[in-house]
Amino acid sequence: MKIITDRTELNIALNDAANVFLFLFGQAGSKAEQIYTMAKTSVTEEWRQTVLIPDIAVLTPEEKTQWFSGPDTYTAISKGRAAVDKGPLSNLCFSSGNPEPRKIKNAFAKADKA
Amino acid sequence: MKSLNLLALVALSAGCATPRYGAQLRNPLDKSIIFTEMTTGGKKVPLSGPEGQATQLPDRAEIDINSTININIKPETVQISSTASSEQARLGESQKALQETITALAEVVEVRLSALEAYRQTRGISAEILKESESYKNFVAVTKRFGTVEEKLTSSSIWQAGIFTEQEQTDAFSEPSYQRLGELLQRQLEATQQTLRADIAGAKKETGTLKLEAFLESVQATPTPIHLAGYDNLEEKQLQVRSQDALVMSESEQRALSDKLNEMSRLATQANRVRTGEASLTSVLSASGKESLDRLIKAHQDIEPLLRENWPLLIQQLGSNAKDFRSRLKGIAEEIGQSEITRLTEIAANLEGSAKVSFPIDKFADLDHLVINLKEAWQKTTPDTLVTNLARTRDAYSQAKALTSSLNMGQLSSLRRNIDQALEEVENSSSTITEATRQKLLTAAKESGLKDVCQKLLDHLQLAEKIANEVWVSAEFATIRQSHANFKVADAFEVPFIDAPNTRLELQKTTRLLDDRIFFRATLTQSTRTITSESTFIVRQFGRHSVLAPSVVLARPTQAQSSTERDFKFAPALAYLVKYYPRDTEEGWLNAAARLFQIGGGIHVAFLEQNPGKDTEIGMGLAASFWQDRIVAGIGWNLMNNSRSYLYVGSNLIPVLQALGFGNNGAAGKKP
Repeated sequence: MKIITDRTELNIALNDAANVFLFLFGQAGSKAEQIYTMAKTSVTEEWRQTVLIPDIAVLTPEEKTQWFSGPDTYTAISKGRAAVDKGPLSNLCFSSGNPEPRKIKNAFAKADKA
Repeated sequence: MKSLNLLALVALSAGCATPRYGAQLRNPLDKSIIFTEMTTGGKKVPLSGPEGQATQLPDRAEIDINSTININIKPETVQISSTASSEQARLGESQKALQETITALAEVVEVRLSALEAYRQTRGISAEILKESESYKNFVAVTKRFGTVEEKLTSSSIWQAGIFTEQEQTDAFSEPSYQRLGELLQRQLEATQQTLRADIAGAKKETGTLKLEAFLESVQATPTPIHLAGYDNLEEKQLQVRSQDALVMSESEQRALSDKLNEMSRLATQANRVRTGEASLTSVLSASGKESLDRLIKAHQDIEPLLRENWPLLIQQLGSNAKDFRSRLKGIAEEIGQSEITRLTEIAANLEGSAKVSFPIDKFADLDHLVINLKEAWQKTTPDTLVTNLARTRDAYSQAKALTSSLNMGQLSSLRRNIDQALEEVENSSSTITEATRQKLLTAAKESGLKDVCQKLLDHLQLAEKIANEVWVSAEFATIRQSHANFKVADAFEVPFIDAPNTRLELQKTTRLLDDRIFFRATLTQSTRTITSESTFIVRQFGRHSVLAPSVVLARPTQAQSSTERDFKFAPALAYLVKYYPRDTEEGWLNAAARLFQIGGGIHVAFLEQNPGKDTEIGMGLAASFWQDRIVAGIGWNLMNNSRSYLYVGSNLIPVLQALGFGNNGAAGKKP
């Protein structure tokens, strides 16, 4: 799922207790979008949702406090809606800067495990 | 009296307990072999140092006659190159990590399928009641497990080890079902295992091969090989347990006793001849010594042609003639097939190559002088100089043996084989060669001088081998054992050192006798070196046991009835002695005294000559012995002569007396 500005779709996804999330905070065309594209092809478990958020205005203040750690970062969110893993987007990439599917799966695994 | 004193002194020096038995470790192979004695009572006696470690090399280590020696091989103490061992360790770690990752992947795949199914079960349930439903609870549990195993898989250190490229990892992890990842890991595991196997094979080759050989050395007998399981094809012999009671004897022990009894009778007779003046001590000693020496002198005379030869020039001629022959062969090449010229050229090349033999001319000349001096010394031997001359003659034998060892018989044998082959090939050329070509070859061999120099060398080498064999075989002195350096176990084979199995030496499956020696040799052959480790053991009987001890004694009646009866007379005697010999690890002053004096006590029978009117006189009584029967003493009663009491002293110096030639002239005397 790719969110740009609309909260509606996000609400539907958040209301499904089965889902876990990988939020990618970054602009379209940036590394965040590259990671998003990689995640969509390599992570096909339906309850695992990858979300690209270029504008954090779509989040409530409480959500910002819990889930947002700055531009060009990611947050893995569990079924209980807790942030279980955060960090810069480079943590989800090879040293070359290319998105690394293993690390993306690792982030989702932490979300499922929590 | 002087003679008696001298004999007593020699007896004491020969008979006192030998000092403790550990030589220093000299090379890595010494450290990698650990000997442990296993007694019949199940006790373990470390022979190489503290249990499990090799800190000393057994050197005349005493072992019980019924024990087994466990031989543990520890190849890891002989280091292979550190590069090879660290590479193997790295590959081993890599293999382990890959196997663990494959196991983790299998679990991920299995749990993922369960998670997908559990998710499907939750679809269709409304959001309000979803969390309370069993399907959801099951889904949460399964995805929790899925997350756990997937996190373990994706966090494995193998992904940062540099084994896989970025592209390989991207391709493998991009595929959602993990099938591509499984194929990648399996391929890498197989490649690693193949490299590891090749590395281990290389390391095995580098660590080399091990051969183990063991011999039983008895005095005046050829060493006999002993079977070591896993290292030779020798047949296993049957068990022969040596009883603590000497009266229970094996066949070999019975034979040995019978031989010794006959020897005693002859020795006593000879000794009495000297005592009564029938023969002078000097003449007896000179005669026996001369016999031994004559053989040495003959060997010296036989070797003269070799001493006269200009060996460096001869070897040089061989090399240059072989080279000349090779160049002549080229001229004949167009008439002969390529295979023939190649074969003949190879033979000539072998001759050139093997013409690098060294021959120690100066050492043979030194031996020449030593032998001549010894001959003169023996002609003037007296009891005072006896021991010195014995020692000098023993040294001469040792030098002769060392000298023939230095000939490098292996190199000379190789040279002989090459010469034989060359002469045979030239004489009996292949039938595909025309007669004219064969004659040209023979002419080339003759004109190059190769054939003549080869024949001369062949004659010399045959002579050297013959003399060497005679020196080895002519062990005149019983105390000189035949050198184990020349004996090989023909049925021994080499095993890869890295896989060398432990083995054992079972004394009960040998024909050992008390005081026999066991010689053990290990040879490690690597690509760049050959290392040898040698250990020796002496067969003893520990604890309380009995022996039948033959000896030559000097006996006289306790109450002499005439002046002649005051003289001691030589007589053979046989004592049944009970002894106690503790191990050197057993503490206490009594044990120390028992080891020092090696006392035995019991009864004896002696074959006397106290009454000229009697053909047979047998005396019986009590006996005591010291220092392995080197000194014996007793009192008894002559059962054939009015039961007159007598006393005796004597010695079991049979080997030394034999060396002096006593008993060699076959005089009968009274027999046991």
